[in-house]
Amino acid sequence: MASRLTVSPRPVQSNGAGVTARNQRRSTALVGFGYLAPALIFYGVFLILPFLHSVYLSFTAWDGISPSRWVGLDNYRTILENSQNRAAFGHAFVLIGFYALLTTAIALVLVGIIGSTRIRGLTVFRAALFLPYVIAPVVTGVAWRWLMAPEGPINSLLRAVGLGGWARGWLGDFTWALPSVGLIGTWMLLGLALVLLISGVQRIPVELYEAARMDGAGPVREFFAVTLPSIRNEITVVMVLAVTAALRNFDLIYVTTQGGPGSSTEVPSFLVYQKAFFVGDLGLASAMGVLLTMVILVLTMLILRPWRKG
Amino acid sequence: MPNRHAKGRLARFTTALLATTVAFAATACSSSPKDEKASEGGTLVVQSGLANSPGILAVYQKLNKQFEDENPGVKIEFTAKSFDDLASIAKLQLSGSNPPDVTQVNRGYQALGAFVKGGLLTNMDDYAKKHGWDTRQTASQLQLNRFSTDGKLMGEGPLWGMSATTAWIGLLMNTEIAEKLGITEAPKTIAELEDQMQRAKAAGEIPMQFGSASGELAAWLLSELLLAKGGPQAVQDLVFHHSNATFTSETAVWAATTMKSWGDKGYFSPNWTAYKTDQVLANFVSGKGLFSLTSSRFTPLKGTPEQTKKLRMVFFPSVSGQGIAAVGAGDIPWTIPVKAKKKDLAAKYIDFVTSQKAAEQFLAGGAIPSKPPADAEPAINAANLPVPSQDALRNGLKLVGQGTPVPYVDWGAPELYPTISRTFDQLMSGALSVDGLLAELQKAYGPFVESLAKG
Amino acid sequence: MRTSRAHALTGQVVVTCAAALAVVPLIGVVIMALGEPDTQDSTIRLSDSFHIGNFKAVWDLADMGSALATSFKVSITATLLTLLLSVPAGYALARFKLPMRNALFFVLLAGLMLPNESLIIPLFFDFREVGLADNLIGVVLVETALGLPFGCFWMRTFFRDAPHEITDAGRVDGANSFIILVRLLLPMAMPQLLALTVLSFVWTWNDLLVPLVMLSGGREMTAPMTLATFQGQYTTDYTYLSAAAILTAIPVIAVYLVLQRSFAHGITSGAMKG
Repeated sequence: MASRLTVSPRPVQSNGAGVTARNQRRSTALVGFGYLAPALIFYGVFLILPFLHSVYLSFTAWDGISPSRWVGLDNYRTILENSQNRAAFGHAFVLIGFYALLTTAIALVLVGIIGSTRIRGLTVFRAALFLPYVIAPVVTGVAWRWLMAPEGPINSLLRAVGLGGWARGWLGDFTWALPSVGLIGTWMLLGLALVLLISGVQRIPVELYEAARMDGAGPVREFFAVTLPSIRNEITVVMVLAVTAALRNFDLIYVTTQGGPGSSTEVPSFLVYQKAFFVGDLGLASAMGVLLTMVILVLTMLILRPWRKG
Repeated sequence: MPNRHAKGRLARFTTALLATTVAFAATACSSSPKDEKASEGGTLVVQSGLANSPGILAVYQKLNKQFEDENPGVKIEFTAKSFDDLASIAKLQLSGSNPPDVTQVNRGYQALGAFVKGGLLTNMDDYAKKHGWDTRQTASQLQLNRFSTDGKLMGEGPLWGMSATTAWIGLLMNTEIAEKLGITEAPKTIAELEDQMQRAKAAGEIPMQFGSASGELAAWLLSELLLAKGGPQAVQDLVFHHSNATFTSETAVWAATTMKSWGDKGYFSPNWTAYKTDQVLANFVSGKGLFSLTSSRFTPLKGTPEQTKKLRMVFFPSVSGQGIAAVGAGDIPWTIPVKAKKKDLAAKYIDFVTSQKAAEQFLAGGAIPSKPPADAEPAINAANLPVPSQDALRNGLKLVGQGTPVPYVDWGAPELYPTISRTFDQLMSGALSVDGLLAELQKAYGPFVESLAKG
Repeated sequence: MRTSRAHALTGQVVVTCAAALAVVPLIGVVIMALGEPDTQDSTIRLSDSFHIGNFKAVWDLADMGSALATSFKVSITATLLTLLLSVPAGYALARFKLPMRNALFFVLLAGLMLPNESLIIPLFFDFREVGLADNLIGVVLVETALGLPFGCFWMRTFFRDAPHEITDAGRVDGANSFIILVRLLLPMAMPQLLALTVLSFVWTWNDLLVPLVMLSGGREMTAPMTLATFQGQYTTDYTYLSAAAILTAIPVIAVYLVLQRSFAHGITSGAMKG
């Protein structure tokens, strides 16, 4: 199957029988809606309506108990003016740096080294590489909280190789907690990114490489001239998946740092939960959720833009 | 693909799919609203917030069995959450449609006050009359579980919960390290404490085993330091909103400056921001640290007799060194959610765990019952508890009997607890100054107090 | 040729290292879970005997049995519902000339971007009104809805790319659209259905936020919820925590390993088309 990133559907080939009477076409459409309706209703009731309700709530002040009060854009203003909330969005972007940029960069370097060579036993490797993406973020969080504990394996390793000065309580360290969470994200996504990119490279026709070699291109130029342009779509996909994962990481934060130490790992997805269900400021929490959705939409569009033009 | 085979497989697949969907929907359906049978039988769902207090939990396990024996047909489903987990889930639970029948909730405006205001808890006045609770505990003990129905006045109005045990905050001290440093007495004044910590630091020992990954320890330290400088009145004024108390007072400035100076001088254990409360305790029990800050609710401490025998639990010193006072109160009270299914049975359970019979078992298990026997000494001696637990009991009883237990300062406003736990780390890392910290605390406190006054 | 062989070897080494990086931390967790129980020690060491009993201990302490049962109920039901709803929807979107078809498809697709965090507050309060809070059905409904955007998209892609000659032939034989779907198209869709099954199962099983909020009453707990709560209780009992983490992850890993090819197919080509 050819890889295709088009979102807009290809027009359906006219199927059989040619042009028929108009009411027959209408009845076909009715049957079609019959197939579509259950999913649409489900989707509308359990996703769209709640989201719209959330948008409505974001314009109110509500504690979940007393009647809500319309406050217009106040909640959004509070989020933008409050340094703690602003910082949370800043942290989210740092995490995107780790989840998406670092992951993609590492995967690209590795793919550059591997090049177009066939990997033996790729199925087995693929199974292993996907594993961090498959297991629940809660499990990942519990595992890494142990791995990064002050007396945990990572610090033991550092001490063993004479880097004891670097040993620290990674997830509880004021400076290092956020990067540590980010690195967990890199771990979760690196295998996935690598598999996607490798499968992209393997679809590149060998002739392209031969042509490049004929022109006297070395491995580096080959990578930039042939490999990179050919796997642009795969890179885009990795970026979309990773950016989304970085912004929707409530689970991981909940089990590793709970936003601490201080507020150094507070991110919007965690603040939504905390503001809503611990503090009880549901209007503000809803506004935070809506803003988070908007950030995801905008970033996705930005990432998808280049290929749309091309 | 061999199409014919696939077709048969698919038919079976589709049938199986439909059948299982229906079956699962049915089981999911039937399993959810578990029991709304006779009000006196069936399962009583009890939720505690003492998951990190294995000693007290063990007593509850015994009590639950006895309660089941005394009430045939009743089965207790007891779940234990950590204090922080309970705090973060309680509001959701209580406003949900299917809360536990009995649950512990924290006090103060963040928890009890907010729940009372939202009409989420059952007024216990009638149960108190029926079971004689008002004579079982003293007025000042019950007072902390009272709130006006609008959630505005703490300490007044109806009764919403009952505490079965009492907990107080004190200093753990490792006598072995102390002796090595030539320290023979527990510190009476803050100056002595600082001197002893300095000596530990100089000798390469950890002065204070500490951790702020859970919010508790930071809130306790702040409360204890406010108490040490300003006396009980200073903390009570903040908690009960008396005398226009603020977090910018001289006392508060001193408390914050002192905390900061301890951090700067390296008195806290390395990596302390990474440790949760029970890791702090584990580290301390394993012999790391001259002092630690803890709640008596964590005693008996986990650890071998060899490890615990050299540990003591003493009062946190004050600036003047006078009087007996400590942060302490009835432990998180048992309440009945307004949507609980079996309220009478729930009240019966609360009556049982606050009874004289339960009190004796709490004492034997190393917990201070809310109503201790007149002379607890024989029971303490008979219980054969580790040394720090005996300290926790004796000093706790002394505090309740002759001293002044003081409420936790974070009860004073809904956002104080999360604010303290967040800004404490920021103060220590230098991200916030002493003034910055106090301004944040006042921001979480002042406007709330004003909003109550305005009505 | 020598260089190319050296190159192949390098590639093999790089992939092996990357795979090791993914797996070694997890193996560490397994070793930790088999270590000396009931210590507050976080250092990893191979003890002389494996303490299989840790799993039994955690099973009892955390009530893992009922948590896993709950997770199975929710994940299987939600997965089946996703399949039942996505297949006809994808069919309609690919093979029927519907007014506003593109718009409808786009709206469905936008659901892929909606984070649970932006839905959870109204879901909790609205479901409470209709008695779906603290109810497994509520969780199933939400998880199904969250799986639908991908499901519809995924099945639509299949139906769009499936050869039209077959359906044309069916039509000539007088078969109606339902017969064509069930008799002719679905038999070819087995790989796609399996991929969708494994993906929805894994996504539903792993989610924490929705069950955490929707089942807050505490009577029913999914496995990830139980693990998170268990960690609050046994903060530093890393042996027990590791054992609980493994118990939570095993069903997903099992399903994943059995349907590994389908999963990879779903993720790679599914993602490529998204």
